Amino acid sequence: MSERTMSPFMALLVINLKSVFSFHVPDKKELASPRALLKTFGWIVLAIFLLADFGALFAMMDIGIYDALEPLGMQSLMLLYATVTSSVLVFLFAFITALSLFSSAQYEALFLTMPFKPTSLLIGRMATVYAIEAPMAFLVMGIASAVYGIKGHPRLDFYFYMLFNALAMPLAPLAISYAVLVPLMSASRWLRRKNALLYIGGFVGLAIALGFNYYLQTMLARVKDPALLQKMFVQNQLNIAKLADWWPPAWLTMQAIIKSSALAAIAATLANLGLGVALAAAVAFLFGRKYARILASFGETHAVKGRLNQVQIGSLFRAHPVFFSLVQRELRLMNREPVYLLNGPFVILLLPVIFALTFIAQGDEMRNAVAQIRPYLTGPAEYLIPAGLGIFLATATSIACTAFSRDAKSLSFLKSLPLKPHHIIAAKLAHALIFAVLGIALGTVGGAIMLRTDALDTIVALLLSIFGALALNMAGLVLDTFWPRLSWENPMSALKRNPNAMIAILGSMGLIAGLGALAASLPSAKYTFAVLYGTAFVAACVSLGLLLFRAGPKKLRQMEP
Amino acid sequence: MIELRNISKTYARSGTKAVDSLTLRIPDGVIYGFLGPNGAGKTTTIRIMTGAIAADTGSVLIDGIDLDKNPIDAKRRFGLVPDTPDMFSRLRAYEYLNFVADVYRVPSAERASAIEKLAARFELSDVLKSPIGSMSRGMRMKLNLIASLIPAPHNWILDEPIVGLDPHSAFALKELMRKHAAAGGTVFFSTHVMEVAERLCDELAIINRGKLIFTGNLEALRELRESRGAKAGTGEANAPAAEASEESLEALFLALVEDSEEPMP
Repeated sequence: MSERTMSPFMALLVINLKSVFSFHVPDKKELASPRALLKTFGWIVLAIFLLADFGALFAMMDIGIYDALEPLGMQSLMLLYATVTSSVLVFLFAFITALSLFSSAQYEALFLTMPFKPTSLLIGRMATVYAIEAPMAFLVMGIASAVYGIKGHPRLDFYFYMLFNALAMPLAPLAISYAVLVPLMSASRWLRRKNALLYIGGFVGLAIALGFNYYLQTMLARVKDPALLQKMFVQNQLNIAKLADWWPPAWLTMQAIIKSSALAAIAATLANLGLGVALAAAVAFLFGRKYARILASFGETHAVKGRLNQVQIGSLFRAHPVFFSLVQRELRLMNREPVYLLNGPFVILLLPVIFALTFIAQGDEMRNAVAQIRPYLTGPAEYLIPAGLGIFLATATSIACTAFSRDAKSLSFLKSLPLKPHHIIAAKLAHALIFAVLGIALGTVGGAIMLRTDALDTIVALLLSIFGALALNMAGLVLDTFWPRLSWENPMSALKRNPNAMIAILGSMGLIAGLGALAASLPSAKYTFAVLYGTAFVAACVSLGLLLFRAGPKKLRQMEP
Repeated sequence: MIELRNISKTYARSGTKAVDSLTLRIPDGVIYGFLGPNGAGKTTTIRIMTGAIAADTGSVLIDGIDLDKNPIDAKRRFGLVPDTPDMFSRLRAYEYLNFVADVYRVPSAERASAIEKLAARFELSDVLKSPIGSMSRGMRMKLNLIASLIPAPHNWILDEPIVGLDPHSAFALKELMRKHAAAGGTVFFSTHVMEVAERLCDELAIINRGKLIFTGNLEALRELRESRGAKAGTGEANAPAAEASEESLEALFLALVEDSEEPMP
């Protein structure tokens, strides 16, 4: 009896996909556990929310563009616009994904010892990137098809062309991304380092996310004004057409959609698919060997050699107080791990940048909104808003609420050292508070400047944000001391996939919003809430401090990393 | 001197009893080998012995100081070489050594002198400014060996210290272990390689499935071998002495482990 086995190439594709999409579909037995059930339900809700969120944004834009252009008889430009948008997004997405996937090259290098051709390895990797970027093309093109379908009632074959052209759209960007990245990585040893890729990928990813945010904000502002949209499209019509002409997959997609002859439309669709497949295959064959060499040499490290003289030894090995040394260790371990830095302390800078971009993108609308709410910015709001901004930024770094989780790998050793547990806890709190100060400076002081808050209210806001940030950071540390996530293989799990980080961020947002709403709904003298909230924050600090430094050491002793 | 009194530990998550009523006394001036197959409970015992995890029952005394009641003083009395040299990979070698020296409050001049000597001995002098992440496993193990000796501890606890070391460093380590014991200190190390234990240990303990199955010196182990050999009538006495001894000690270790795994009647 012969046993059916998967072909080696299919096995490669499956393991590549599984290693990127590390989804685990729970079986019936697992779903019997309430925790697993809740987790699965949470993931489904999150997926629906994300899909609905992006879907709604694109649908709003497409509907706005269609409605604005229909009176001019130019509604098909909406499809051209969706095609160009999809092409650009897919291109950016493909590039950043291809770049990021190089960071797992060290593990992929194991495949070099297996009977795979270099070309197969590259095709296997390209297929993974395709699986990630294709949903983006489907989402943008699918929503445009749905809007055009509902409003324009096209023939049925329209959907067929949209579907197959959406399938083709990610192929050319994928091929170009690898045609650029493989020679680049091959030429630079510095780029063949996981850290370098994580930093570059992180910053490029942030830049793309900010750019996408700017684009969405700009378009959403314009969609509300049909006259502006008409003017924009009439004036830019040629530019959009030029962009579509310049980018063959977009041009072929448009040809497939607008051609009245079915034969011409099918030919354009097939040409689009053929072009994409040919480009991807050409890149795989041309760069397969180079790709394999990158895998083989990825992450090669060399120790920094150099014998130290007596003076250097004397200056390097100097005694410091234990607490200083503990805080220094916390700072170094967090700031030198790209995943931690970008999703931790860097958030303090990132959030104001996102806010500034929104302000710039939605320019007049935001200025009008601020002008409209300014009359209501009286009473407690004058100090509560800057305080709230500061508290949020001071707690958004996730330093305190992931402090022990991040330390899971070295916790056993740390606990074997002659250290007082409350010193370890205090060092972790001090680490969070160092960045909280920066958050308060940017959030509270920056907010006060933006809202033109007077000096007294700024001082009140500062005091509230100091005690509020202290209380919330302590709460985060309590959370991670009592329920740390100590079992993980990838540092990302300790921070980005740590439920404590989610609870702390959503909790602080909820608390800030709740306290703001309470102040807005209860008529009271202006500084009543300053006294009330200030007292509550101080009381919380005292209670949490007692919990942290009395029960925390016992909990630390019980931790089993 | 290190004493473990009736230590038991069951991991809450898996429900596995990793250490079961373990009692050991490791005297001063000896090299004490702690043997057992993979998963026998060696690392769990060392983690309990060093305060990394708490035992469910029993107590640990380091030089007579109760680890649970007076953890700081007890921990000052030992230096640990952990089995996973991968921690702190984001730090540079000298930063890690400085951190450990700060924790043990070793003055600047003393630490500089100790590190200089130990780094030369383990051939790490040239890479002290390197990030730990860029070092090989063996280099990281050597770095941990240096870190454990900076405070000049009376008790030296090593978890699988030979793994990953090159022959030169393994020799240097064995020399240091002998020197430490000869100076009156305690050396307690775990291994699953019988040959290493046989060549190095003054006394040893064998553990399997969390239970102690042998404790004593090599002479007692050899006597046990001979008595078993005589019972089984293997005729090993005819084999060349050294070869027979080497082979059968390993065989005895396996036999002891196998016996301990047999189900209770």
